[in-house]
Amino acid sequence: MGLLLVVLAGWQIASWWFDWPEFLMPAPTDVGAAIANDGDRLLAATLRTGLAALAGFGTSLVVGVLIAIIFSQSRLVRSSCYPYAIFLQTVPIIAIAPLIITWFGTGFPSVVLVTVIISLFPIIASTTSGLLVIDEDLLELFRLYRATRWQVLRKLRLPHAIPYLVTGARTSSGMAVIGAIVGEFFVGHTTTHYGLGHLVLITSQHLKTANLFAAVIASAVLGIALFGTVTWVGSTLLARWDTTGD
Amino acid sequence: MDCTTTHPALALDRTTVAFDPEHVVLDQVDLEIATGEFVGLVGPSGCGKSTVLRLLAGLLEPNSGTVHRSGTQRIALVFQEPNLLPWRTVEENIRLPLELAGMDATETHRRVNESLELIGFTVADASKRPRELSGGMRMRVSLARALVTRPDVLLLDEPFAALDDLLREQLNEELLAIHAARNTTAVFVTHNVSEAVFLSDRVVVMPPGTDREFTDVPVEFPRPRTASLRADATFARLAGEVSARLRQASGEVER
Repeated sequence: MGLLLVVLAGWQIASWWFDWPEFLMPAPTDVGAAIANDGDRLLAATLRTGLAALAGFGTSLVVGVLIAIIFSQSRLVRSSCYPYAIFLQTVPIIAIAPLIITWFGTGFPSVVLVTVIISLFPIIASTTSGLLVIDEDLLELFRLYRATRWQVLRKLRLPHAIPYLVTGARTSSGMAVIGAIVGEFFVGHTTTHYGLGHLVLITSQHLKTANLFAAVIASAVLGIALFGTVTWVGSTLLARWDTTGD
Repeated sequence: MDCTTTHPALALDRTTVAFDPEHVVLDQVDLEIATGEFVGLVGPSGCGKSTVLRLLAGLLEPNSGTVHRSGTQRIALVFQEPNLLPWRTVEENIRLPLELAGMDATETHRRVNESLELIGFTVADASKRPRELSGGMRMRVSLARALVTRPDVLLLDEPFAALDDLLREQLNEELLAIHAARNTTAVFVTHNVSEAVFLSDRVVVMPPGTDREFTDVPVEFPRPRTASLRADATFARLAGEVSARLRQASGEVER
């Protein structure tokens, strides 16, 4: 916090000293005024983006875990389909946005879809690792007691994968906010209902740089809030999972 | 070489295990374990002791030869590492085999309490997680998990190797008490010659390499055995004999 105050103070002083134009580099006081004056619109946009990020993140969690479970049960499916999961990580949204608009139109559902595309892979990758990378002695223990495949999945693989899933979820949560904003850039807005992504676009186009800063700050706060929440939930869940016990 | 019995509890008959043509672990090995017998298995690292246990447990199939297990025996294996599931409590770890077998809750609860009592754990200990336990306590839980199925055969793969001597000796005596109470057939793999002699009715020396025979050293001390046995001159002689056989089998020159 001390460092932040020093940076803000230095920025304010530099704005006065160099007399930067507001459209180029607004002072902290200008950004503060933009937040105060445009608070309602900023809040509404933040809530809309937050909702899209949550919906996309939640969908990624469910779909990602299901895909990871399927991958863990079949080497053939895993080796065939895993490259397509990697595709999700590398596909440029700008390239597929026209396709998404053609198939699903613009608006909230398309934004959620883009969020899922961007945030899904960390869940798949980490959970698959957690389901598969298991001490051979533990697998041997379950073989010794003639456990069925379903019992091994339910009583060994899934609990073992929880810490890995939490790690993937933390990464995915940050990417979900990015995904929601990027989605709003390309596929998701109306003139009356829009999120932070669209707010960033219109404020930058109109050179309302102080408002742009405000939108960026709101995006960061949203990202921190979601990441922090997922981290807290993960820590609570992992209280049982301290693996230093064995 | 082997203890001839009419109906051995376990037997390997000309059993070969090779993980690849260059790596033959066991070559036409013969071994018989009588019902209720406590057999110590000693040998240098890499001679195939753990492989023998895994064959007897049914975790491994031989490339040739046969593995005999009489009747419908329940077999339990205690690993060198406790292998407790860290997200489960002591009680939940112990009842795992019974859950997998689909045993009803009442009987499961009764057997788990029985196992907890056998290893000297209280009700408060039962709700602890592995991270809250010492190494010795975790090994006891691993043993309790093996015993909860009331096995006819108990296979132990160097279970006390990572523990200090004092704790190891204490657990040796506890293991003997359990063996006496249940008349369980046991095969105990160890590097520790003194431990093998203390626990066993017979010590089987496994040589390295694939062209040597197992050798038996009978141990005829009466039971129950206590820590004072280790100070006995005959005990020292027997331990020396086993060590000598090990060195001979390894090809070292005896002094």
